[in-house]
Amino acid sequence: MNDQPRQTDPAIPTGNNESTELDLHDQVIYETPEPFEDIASGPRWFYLFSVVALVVGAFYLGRHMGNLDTEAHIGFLQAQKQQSGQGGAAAVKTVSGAAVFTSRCVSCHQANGQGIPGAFPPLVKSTYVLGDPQTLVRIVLQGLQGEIKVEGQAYNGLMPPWQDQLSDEETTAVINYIRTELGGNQAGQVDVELVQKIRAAEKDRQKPWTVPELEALEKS
Amino acid sequence: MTIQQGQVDVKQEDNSQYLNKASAMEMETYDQSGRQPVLLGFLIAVIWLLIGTVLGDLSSFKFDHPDLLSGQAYLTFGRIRPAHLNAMVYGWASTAMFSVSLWLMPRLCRTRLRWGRVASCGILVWTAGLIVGLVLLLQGYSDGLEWLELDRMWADPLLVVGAAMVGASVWRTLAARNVHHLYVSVWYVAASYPWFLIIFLAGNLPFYRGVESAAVNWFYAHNALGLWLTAVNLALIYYLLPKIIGRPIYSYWLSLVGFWALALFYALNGMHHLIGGPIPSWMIATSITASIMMVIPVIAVGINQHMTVVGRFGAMRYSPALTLAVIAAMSYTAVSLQGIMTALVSVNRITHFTHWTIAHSHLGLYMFVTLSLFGGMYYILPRVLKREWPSRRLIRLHILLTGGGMALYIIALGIGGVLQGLSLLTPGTGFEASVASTKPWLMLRSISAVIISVGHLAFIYHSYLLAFSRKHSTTQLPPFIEFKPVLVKERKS
Amino acid sequence: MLMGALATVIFALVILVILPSSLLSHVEAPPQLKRPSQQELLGRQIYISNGCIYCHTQQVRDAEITADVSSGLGNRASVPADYVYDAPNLLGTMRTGPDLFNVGVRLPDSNWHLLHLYQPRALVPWSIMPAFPFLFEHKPKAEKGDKVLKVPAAYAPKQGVVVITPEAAALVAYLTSLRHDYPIPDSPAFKESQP
Repeated sequence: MNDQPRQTDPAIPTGNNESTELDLHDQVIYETPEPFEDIASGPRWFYLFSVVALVVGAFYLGRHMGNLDTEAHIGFLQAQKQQSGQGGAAAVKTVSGAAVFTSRCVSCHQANGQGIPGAFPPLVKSTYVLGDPQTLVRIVLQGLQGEIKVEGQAYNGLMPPWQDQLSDEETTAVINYIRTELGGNQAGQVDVELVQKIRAAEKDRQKPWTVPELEALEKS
Repeated sequence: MTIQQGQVDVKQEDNSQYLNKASAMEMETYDQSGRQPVLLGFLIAVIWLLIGTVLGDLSSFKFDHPDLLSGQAYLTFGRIRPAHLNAMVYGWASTAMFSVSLWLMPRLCRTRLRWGRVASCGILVWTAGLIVGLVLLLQGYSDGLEWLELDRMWADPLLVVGAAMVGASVWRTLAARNVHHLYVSVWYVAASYPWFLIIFLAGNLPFYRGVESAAVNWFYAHNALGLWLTAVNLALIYYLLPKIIGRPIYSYWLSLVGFWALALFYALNGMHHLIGGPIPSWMIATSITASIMMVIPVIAVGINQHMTVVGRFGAMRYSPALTLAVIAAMSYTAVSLQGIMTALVSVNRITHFTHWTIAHSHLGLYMFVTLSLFGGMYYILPRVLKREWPSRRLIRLHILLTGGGMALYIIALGIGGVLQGLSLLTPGTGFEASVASTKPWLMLRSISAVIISVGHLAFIYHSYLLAFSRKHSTTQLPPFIEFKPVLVKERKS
Repeated sequence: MLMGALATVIFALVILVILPSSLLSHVEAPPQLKRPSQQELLGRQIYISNGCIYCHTQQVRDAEITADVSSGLGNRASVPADYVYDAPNLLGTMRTGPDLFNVGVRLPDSNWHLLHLYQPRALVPWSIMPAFPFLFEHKPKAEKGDKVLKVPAAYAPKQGVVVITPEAAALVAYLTSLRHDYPIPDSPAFKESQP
């Protein structure tokens, strides 16, 4: 209803902008005119840019959207193929036993291999580590459960099987690391063939080993 | 008012339908019509700011000293952190935004605020809901979704009713408007209330499960930022910039593009929080595309606001409200461009799951939203209270500490986040490396958190002085405006 | 204007909430994914109420674009079918701590989790995870039926014992139940849901 500016409204000074020329009441200094929009249409390049953006967006969506279903992880496969090739190669290149140990074993056995007294057995000076390599390979591949006595102390825990998570090379590297490097341990190296052999022989085993089982196998 | 009639340019006569001319006296009537809810909202908001600051600081310190105050369940990090987010988003920002909307609408609609009492009650109901929700959250009753932790049984209904009551007042005022042309700020404010209610209700429905729950979670959380926090604060900035420097907004058409492109694209953005995750690929692709499309409204708003202020940046020296509005406007552009970049798969694979996200959200929620609200309070409170801010020094201190502190915060966590992300992308390094790479930056973040907190204390003390100390006369000129305003400058066209 | 503004947000709601809702309702749990037990659900609730989600994700991302699989978080990326029993989702957005999607495979030992919850630094010296001593009870002497947690001397209370509460036991039961190492379910339901 008040579309028309009222006659009493203050005019908006134009032209020379120097405010020194304005003799205004305090209150007006305080309360400048209400904002409004100019009718400039804005730079042309912006509209061109918007159209380009829409086209790019449409192409992006078309390329990556895939089907309208519940399948996950399909959209970016084609686009990233080249990159992943390099990444995969880098992962297989060298296997460091120390790195595997750091990322998989230290949460329980600790970085120094001493374990947590009463909770997780030490690897340093442990007869299970330094003794028959077959036993150690079995423990690493299929895990260990139940009572075990190490360095005169009893433990009762559950070590996870690593056969689904570590390759033969990684398993060999980490076993050699704990047998020959960790905390002054000095025992013989283990070949990758032994790991392969035990993995093949026990591939159907569902449960972790127990100490009596391992001892029985060692004796036989 | 007795004002000398100046010459009226012919060109401006043509534009007269766009000119909203009003006398200072008239504005005062509008301001006073909403005095009660506006002041109530700001008072509550400032209290939440203080609470949220304490919670945020505590969360930050817990990264450096994980055993700090870990004995009590309600002080554990996993409860303090969401409490910080909720206190800041729903307590500080939203409540201050209620006041901002209730102050803007009468001015822009040229009418008294309608249903002001309903709005006041709405603010109180909202606050009650938030208190209930936060107490339950600290006791361990959480809905388990980020941004939606508040209990859906006891807290959320109160929040919905509260926001709806404030929204009713906004819309009633809009319906009673005395203007034909709606200024751009009105679009944002008016639209934000129904938007918020729709997304908040949709986000809180209890029957989503599995990955769908994640999709709804991020649909809500992203839109709470885009369609609620961003909308009202853009409205405020759109008002403050031309108002303070006395020049019209550069382009009506850009405002139009900015608004509608935001409404269309922002609402589709949410799934970029789940890139690489187990939700259907087409959803993620849609959200990435919509995120890229956000470049249109962001550039439109950026050009529009920049061209409005350009050549008048010097006026920032005299007006803290303008200073903060300009920083906030620039931060909006910055945070949006950063967000678009982060939504790209090649960047996201590094920054996802890292502190980069936290830096990004603080660029948005602090440098943009909070600074714009501070600017609004510097402008609005003297007009509603009819009393000026007492101390120029406290204002400078506040702007310097909060702006500088947050810049440090964002840089520190941004760097820390990228280092963390690169470490997480390198197989075989172990998790320790990613923790170690962030530790110094988290420490720096805690330092910046302290700086920001001091800034907040200065602001809160200053607000107290303004509101409750009787020393300052009502006639005193604003301490920062020793100047004469730069009134409308004719654009050569 | 109101109609237009509502239309945009409802359009987004349809695309990102309602459409996926109908698509995902066809997804069925893989046979190897167990329905969580009562205790595990209680543990999940404790996971939620203590905000574990703010530092831990439960998702393995696409192996093509991330190192999630090659750094051992799982043997494959996670898919919607892995989450059918989850409400609310706990996918998470931060990896301040490691991913927990397969934590039950990596760390099946309950004692490890209990001690780690009581004091993470007893097991992981560089950890910045908060300790959760309030999930345990300090008692001068273990009573009948109490399960006592063995804590290394450096972190043990000066006197008395640390007793495991049902809450801590439930949380650990939940964590060790997080095992998603079965092969990707290629259920025909996925294909059916295509338009």
